[in-house]
Amino acid sequence: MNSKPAALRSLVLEALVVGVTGLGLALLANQLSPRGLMLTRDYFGNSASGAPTAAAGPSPAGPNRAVTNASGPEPGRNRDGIRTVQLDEVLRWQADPRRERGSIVFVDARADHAFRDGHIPGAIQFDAFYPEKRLTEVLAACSLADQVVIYCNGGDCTDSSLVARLLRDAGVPVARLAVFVGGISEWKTHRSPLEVGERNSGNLRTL
Amino acid sequence: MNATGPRPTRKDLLVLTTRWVVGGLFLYTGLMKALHPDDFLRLLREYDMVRQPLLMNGIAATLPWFEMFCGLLLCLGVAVRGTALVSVLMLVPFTGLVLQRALALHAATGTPFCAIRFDCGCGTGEVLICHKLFENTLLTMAAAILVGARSTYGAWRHRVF
Repeated sequence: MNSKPAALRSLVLEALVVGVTGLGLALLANQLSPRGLMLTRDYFGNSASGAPTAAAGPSPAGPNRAVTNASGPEPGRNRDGIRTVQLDEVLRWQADPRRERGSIVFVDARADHAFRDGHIPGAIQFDAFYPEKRLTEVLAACSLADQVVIYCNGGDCTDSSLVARLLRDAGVPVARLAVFVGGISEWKTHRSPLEVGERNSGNLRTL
Repeated sequence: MNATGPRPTRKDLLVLTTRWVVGGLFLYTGLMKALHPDDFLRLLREYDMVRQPLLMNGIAATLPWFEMFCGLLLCLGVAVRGTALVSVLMLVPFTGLVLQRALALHAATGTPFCAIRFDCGCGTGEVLICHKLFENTLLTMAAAILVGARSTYGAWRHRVF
């Protein structure tokens, strides 16, 4: 039978082997996974001037409460200087006939599965984590639009600001961009219709 | 495997069940995170524990797979005690972070502590914090039991060394 120190040593050694092997395999799995993350990429643009609002810690606002821009440089704008809008304005744009003509475009900055579960009718999905997937389509739509409204979950989420920054950097004029701060949470709270599935699927539902 | 050996005692069966439950949970929650690592990264960021992109991405990219690896080892019964020790070392700080975030939300919103719910990045979606803390405490205790358990029943290779 092993002495206590020897047993402890072998336990720690075993844990180390598990840890190192697991870490190596995990890195490999991430590399091989089609949804794997790029380790060196700055997904949140922390180094940019527009540090996301949630970076200071967990927001007490929760997902159903809109983030205000009190810490931003100007009221009604986020830290990147992009206009922020509230639900009433978003509802007006949604009902505006110009939306049907493509002059007002909604961009959903959430992940694929969240988009399919329900999005603002007619919105284009553009996941900031995988911009290469739809950048061409989104830029084409934005180039024809007078107004681009970007949203994510609302509350803590910063993906809409990230997408706004990406679009701005890709050449969409800042004046056309607006971030809906309440996001899909506020949209749902207002019981506005959601489109389920793909864009323009016509499958509308209200919570 | 030595499942065909002597008749298992109640303790053997208890250890085997614990192993499967803890391993199975790790496999499930790891898989849920691995399927959507971007979601996990977003949630991880809300904890504000690290800001370095490389470190944050590294945690979000590896933790789900690492969790699955540990789950698989526990289910198969390979390096059981070492894996259980690693599991405890993962669970304790993570539970502490969840508690810290819940306390911050409680202080900021005044919501009764046990009514606080959020997606803690645990792989099970939005949860009531008290339930989550209770679940994690049980899971940590179960993993700690496996660290001390000597039963090799149903284990493929209980010890590596």
